[in-house]
Amino acid sequence: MDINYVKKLVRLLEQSAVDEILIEEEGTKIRVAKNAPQIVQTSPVSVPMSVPQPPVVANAEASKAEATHTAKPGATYHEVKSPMVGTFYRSPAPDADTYVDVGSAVQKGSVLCIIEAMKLMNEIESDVSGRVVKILVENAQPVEFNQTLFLIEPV
Amino acid sequence: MSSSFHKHLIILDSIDSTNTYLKSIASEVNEGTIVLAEEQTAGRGRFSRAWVSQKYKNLTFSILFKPKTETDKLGLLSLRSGTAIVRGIKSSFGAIVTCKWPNDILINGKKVCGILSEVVKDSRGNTCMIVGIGINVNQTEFPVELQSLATSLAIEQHCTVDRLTLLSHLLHELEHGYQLFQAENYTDIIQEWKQNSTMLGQLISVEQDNSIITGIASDIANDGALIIQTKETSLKVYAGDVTIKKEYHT
Repeated sequence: MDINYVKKLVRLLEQSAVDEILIEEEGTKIRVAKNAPQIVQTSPVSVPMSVPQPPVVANAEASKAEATHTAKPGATYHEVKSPMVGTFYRSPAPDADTYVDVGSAVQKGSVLCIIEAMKLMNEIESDVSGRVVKILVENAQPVEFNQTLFLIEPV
Repeated sequence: MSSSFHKHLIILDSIDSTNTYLKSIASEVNEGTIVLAEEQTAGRGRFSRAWVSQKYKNLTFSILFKPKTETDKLGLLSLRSGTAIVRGIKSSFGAIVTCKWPNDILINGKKVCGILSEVVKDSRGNTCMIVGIGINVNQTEFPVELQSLATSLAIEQHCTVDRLTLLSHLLHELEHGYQLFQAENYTDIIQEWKQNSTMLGQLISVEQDNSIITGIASDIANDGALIIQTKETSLKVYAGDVTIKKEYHT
């Protein structure tokens, strides 16, 4: 990916009334958006406007590398979203096995993770059967309402 | 009273965990079902930490709610369950009982009750909220490592407590709290929590994963989150182990 190309997109967005530019070509997705909180949720490559450019570019490269290992370019996946604000946990206890990993087969109703808020542990279930292709949140990190947590390839 | 709320009490001599058992039967029973066990062989708190309780001395039980409310409001019912326990104990003993966010119950700074709530879907896709409650009632001996942290009603009241009478008060308050929640009376839920806590204004720390936030517990947000004022900024906290450091005076 040409970093200058991304920089040009950022400048173009800054100077326009458009909120988001999404480009898909040759298996690479680039999404540049003014609304930072939504960016991480849906796109393998993201450039938040408010973040300084050098770390953003590094992040974009890392995301692209991960995407090629897990999600098929251009494929459409089912998104599992958080029904509440809280903290995301991949296992029921710190020393316990994770509920799922990338590549895990899941059934509709399989527990994927826990979201905790006010000492209430909410088991988040998959609403489709399929395979986990991407986990978008790190363990023990805060999540927002409606934030995408997992991408599932339905079967 | 909600027409679907039937208090149905199941008493077991021994079970692994009342929360786990109630989760397993949630599809077959009505909301308002209560599972009480004299002994839990795998009683647990946050992150599956062990909850240890002497058999026939205390109250360990779980209650099932099937709220129709959006999931993002259920944290308020978790808070309100703590308030219900405080009110139930106060009505029985008039003791100085307080809530520590989100719903630990303290007497003289020591923990007398812990609550762990879990949300699952039943086989019909209904939201089931299981509120697990462990109260130290007549236990007077604790392991050395817990003696500075835990207490019981018997220790604080210098008498043996009638567990059935206490349970009756607690269930009444839990049902009343659920009615408030169902009526979407969220402002009152927050206000009542504040009235039953002394931690706001105090210096606290919150341990989350591998980080610790230290600051003043300044308020409870409308969604039930704890607002902490640090030296640098104001933060909303949704999860973590809270320690009250000391009384803070400006």
